[in-house]
Amino acid sequence: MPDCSLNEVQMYGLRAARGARMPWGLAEEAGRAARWLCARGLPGAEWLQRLLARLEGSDHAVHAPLTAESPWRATAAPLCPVTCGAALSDGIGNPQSLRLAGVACPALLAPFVARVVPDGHCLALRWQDCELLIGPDGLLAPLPGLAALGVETGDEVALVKAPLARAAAPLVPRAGAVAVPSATWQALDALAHRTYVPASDESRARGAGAGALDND
Amino acid sequence: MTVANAPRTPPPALPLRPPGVVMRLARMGAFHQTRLSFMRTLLRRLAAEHWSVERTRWRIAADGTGSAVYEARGPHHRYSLVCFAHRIDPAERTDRVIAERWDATFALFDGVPDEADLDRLAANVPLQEAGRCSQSELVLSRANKSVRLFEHVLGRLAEGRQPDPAQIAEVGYLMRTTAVYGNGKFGVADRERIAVRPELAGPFRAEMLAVWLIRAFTVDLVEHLARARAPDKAVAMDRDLRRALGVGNATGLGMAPFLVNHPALLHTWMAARETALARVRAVQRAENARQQAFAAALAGARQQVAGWRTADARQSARIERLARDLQTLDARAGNGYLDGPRPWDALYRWAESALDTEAQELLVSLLIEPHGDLVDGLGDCMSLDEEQCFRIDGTWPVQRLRASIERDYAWALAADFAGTRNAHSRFWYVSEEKLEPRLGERFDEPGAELEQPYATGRDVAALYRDSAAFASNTRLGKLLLVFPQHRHAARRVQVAARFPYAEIRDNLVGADLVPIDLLRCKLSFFGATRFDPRSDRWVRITMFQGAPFPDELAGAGTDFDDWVYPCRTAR
Repeated sequence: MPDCSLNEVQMYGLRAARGARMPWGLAEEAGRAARWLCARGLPGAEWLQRLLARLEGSDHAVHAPLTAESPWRATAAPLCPVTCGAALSDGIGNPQSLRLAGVACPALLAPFVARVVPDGHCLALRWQDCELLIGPDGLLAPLPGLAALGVETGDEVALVKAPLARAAAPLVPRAGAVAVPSATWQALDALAHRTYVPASDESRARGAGAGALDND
Repeated sequence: MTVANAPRTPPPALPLRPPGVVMRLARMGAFHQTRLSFMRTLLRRLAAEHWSVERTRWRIAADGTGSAVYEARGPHHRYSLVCFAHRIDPAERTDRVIAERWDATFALFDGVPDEADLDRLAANVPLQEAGRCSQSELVLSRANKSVRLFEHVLGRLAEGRQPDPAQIAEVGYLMRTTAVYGNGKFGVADRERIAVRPELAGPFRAEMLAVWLIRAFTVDLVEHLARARAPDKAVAMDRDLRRALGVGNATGLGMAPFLVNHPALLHTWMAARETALARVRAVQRAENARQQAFAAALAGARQQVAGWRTADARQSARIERLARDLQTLDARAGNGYLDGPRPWDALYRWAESALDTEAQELLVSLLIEPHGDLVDGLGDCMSLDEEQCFRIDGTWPVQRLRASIERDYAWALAADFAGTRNAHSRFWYVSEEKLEPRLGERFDEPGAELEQPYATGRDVAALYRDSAAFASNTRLGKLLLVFPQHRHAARRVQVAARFPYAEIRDNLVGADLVPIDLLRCKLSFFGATRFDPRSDRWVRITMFQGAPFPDELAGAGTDFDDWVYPCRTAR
């Protein structure tokens, strides 16, 4: 279980998402989302890796939401939480009353929901027997159990406005090492590798721009 | 906020130079260090806060291998540079990132390491990328000797003589770093951990602190080896001569994408520098003391340019022209010219047509130099929370997006990316071998489908083209649902709309791109000097040349900050 920096989680999340054929701008959102969760003590890297394992290999567009419908659903299951979250963040849909069907790793919606919380309220993100409360300052404690949070698919996901609970305290993001399971890290790394270009003698000589002696 | 803490009214300033002038690679690639550069702001702070540095460990054997620790103590925090010195085969000594062994390796430790920390670091730091750091480390770095100069200095000191100043001037450093990693790389601490500390709040402060301490180590090492070789005869280096030693650095394409990946941060750097210039240009009268300080800086710069060595033909020609331009500038600025109204502005406007870009930008540095009271506060404005710039505002109507692109990316809309191969004949990629950015030839090399998103102009132009299919009041969020591939470009457009100096207004994949222009810009903000291109994609520079050593910080006095220009330091 290597200890990673948050920056590594974000960077590898970005590269792995790109390796899983997400467009660059969405891959950036994916890396940020994993970091956001990890900074709050949640297994963001694992969730992202599990999402990407389900999405990779297919055209990303089929997992984007058909937002004219209710609930939002994908052309081909599952619905991508990063794409839905980005749309929500972009002002698509009503964050105070939204339903989504068949969302992979629905906890990955949380970082995006945090961007659209109306003043003086909080939003409740629900699926199956799980509810996450997100206030103006972020994710509110207490959190549901990890098993409920980490479901493969949120069959019926709902986002609704909720009164701001007085007792609830936002989780304070922390800087520090994140323990990422080796299998997760290897899977992210394998996806990230798809974005790298293998070296050839020609590119080695040209790409880095060597030439002059540097041994003086 | 108390009244005492209320912001002062900023000094008057003329309008800033427009981004269309400043954000061109040909200009950015001609930047020189200024008093806002990070090395200089770091040392000013360390001096003002009476930092002390102590070598708390020195276990270097006579063969030059072992470990050492330098502890820097400030008012609130301590930082320790942990050094490991190695013996390597000359064939292994390469500056390129593919190297696996180095003459010395370093970590900047947050606090004071205990023996267990040192054991852990000894097992990992020498491996660099192949090892693993923890959140207790802020910076990971390594360096190779300039064998030629190191051996010369060692030999001379062992003979009881001082090294030849000409040879020191020729090379400028005993060791050069080949990478200085921070901000979470290879497991070191994320920037959030330290960004709240005033001494490290500015960009790259921890990295600069590490390099400054590495410089002290290189001199201690050579003196130590001289004593080991000739215990009875060896001498220490003369202080003035020692000052002429900086730390070298070899930098390649790995650094190039930084400015593209951090547009809002780039804006803060550029805006600080441009604001400094605009404040100086607004000064109504130049007092004698300022004129003298300007003249001294100019004389120092001329001396520096005279000693600026490079084998690179393009840069050599530029240095020759620069030397001539500085002579012209010297003549112009004399004979009472600066006694007129708004003299600095007059001088700058004259230079715009009379001098080449290299000299114009050096003049910017020289104009800023004597005006620390007007500009030094801007050093605190060179960072920002980039998270605040990440979210896309999906409510923008397409009309606004298009107007924004027309204003900030006219240069990109004018390029013919579809019709002209030269407009996109390059592509940026990450090499599988070293996980580093590289530049490829799109039509000759494989891998273009794995291109990194640095074709900023081409991609924004594509967004603009596709946006034409939408009604002008359609929201950007809708457009991005249809065209998710434009999300990256849309974000850039919005950042550029908020931060005018965020975007480099040049084609980064064109046949005529000179990648080292990107490096030069960033390195000038670090405070690097003696920019020495070794090809169009990697350069050598010198850092902290002329700067006080840790044991000179306390006694540096009022002329403490005058170390950049050599005729002042060679007192």
